[in-house]
Amino acid sequence: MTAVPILSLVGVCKGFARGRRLEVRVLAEVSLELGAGEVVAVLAQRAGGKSTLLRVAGALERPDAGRVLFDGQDVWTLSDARRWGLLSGEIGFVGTQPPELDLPLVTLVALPMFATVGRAQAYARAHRTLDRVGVSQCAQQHWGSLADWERALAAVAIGVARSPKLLLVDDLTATLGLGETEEIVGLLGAFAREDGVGVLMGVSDGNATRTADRIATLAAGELLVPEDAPPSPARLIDFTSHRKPARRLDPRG
Amino acid sequence: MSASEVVLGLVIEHPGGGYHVAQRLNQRLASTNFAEPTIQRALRRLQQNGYVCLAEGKYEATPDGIEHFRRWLAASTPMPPVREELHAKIALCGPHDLPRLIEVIREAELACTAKLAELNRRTRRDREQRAPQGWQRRMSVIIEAGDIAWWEGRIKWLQDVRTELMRERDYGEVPQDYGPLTLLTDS
Repeated sequence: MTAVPILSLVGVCKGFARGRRLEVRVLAEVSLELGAGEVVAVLAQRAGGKSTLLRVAGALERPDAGRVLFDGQDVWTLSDARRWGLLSGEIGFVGTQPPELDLPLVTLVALPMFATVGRAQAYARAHRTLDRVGVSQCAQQHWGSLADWERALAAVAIGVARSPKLLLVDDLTATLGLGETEEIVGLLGAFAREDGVGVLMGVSDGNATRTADRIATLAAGELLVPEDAPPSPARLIDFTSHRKPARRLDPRG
Repeated sequence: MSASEVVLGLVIEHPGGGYHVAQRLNQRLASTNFAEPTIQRALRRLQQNGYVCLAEGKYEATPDGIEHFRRWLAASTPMPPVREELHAKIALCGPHDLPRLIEVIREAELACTAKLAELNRRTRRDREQRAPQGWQRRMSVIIEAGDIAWWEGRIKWLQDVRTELMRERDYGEVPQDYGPLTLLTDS
């Protein structure tokens, strides 16, 4: 058990302007703690705020209010260089977006490590990661030639290659079948247990919650988590009280 | 779902005593939560109907029992009834009831999420203890997915309801001529 959670969200609010008179409340005073080696799945509808939650948790997006602490440090009080350091090493993202560069898979995995460990070491690590994830046979293939489940595994490889402390997974299994989903979430659970990675997953598919230590739900900006969750390395602060939106504007214009 | 045919199917697979049949049923169909006395009653009923017989402390299926089970397996499955109290509360609520109803829906969402988490924990524990392989493994993945889908569907519906009711609470207009429930709430 860690004294300091890998990730703490404290009263995080985030909204987006939609047109002149409407603000969409995506996160309303969301509080969450995630420990090392723990998997938390956040179940929400498509467009239910999962991606925003993960982007805020991963310091890619600044919350309107509240604090985001990584390893006990408020990420928005860090220098830009230090925050960028987190994003390029200690925080890993796994999503379904295709990579921007059309390169062989092993190079996609190795590329972000060139600057930190050198080219040869980066390739060695990339091959090891692809092997561990189970897609070493695809090392020289390009993204476009991979099947959906191979892409999901490849995305995991890209996310974990730099040995992050926190892995943020955005609806990776939404288009996969039962067996494939079980394999992917099993793999993420194994990374959490064996490497002590804290895994926060946004999921729209209940099957993706199978290996989660805790499940939360997100809708109307509120993050809910059952109070009778089993003892875990971290504590989730429940947000159940009635709260009004920051701005009360009529969405019907 | 009646316990009888499920129990009969398990006895056809492996003859056994009531306790072992109950254990196997809870492993194979964990979400059904049949209590052991229910299983014992089902076995006695099957015996009275001539579908199983008791030999050396173990229940065994008779040819009639196997035939009955085959017919049950091939028969169409009836639709489950939807008679939720929550549906009625939503249908009959008024604007002044929204704050409390939103709380009720929040509680229901939390309870369903707890059930889903419990189901996952039980599945993981069963897998560690039993580790089914081959056909049984593939069928158990499908059954678990069915249980998960049920809770997931429920949670998502509750999320939709909560979102809509919160929107009504925050932005909706209260009709001027709203009826008796409003008067009761105001009094």
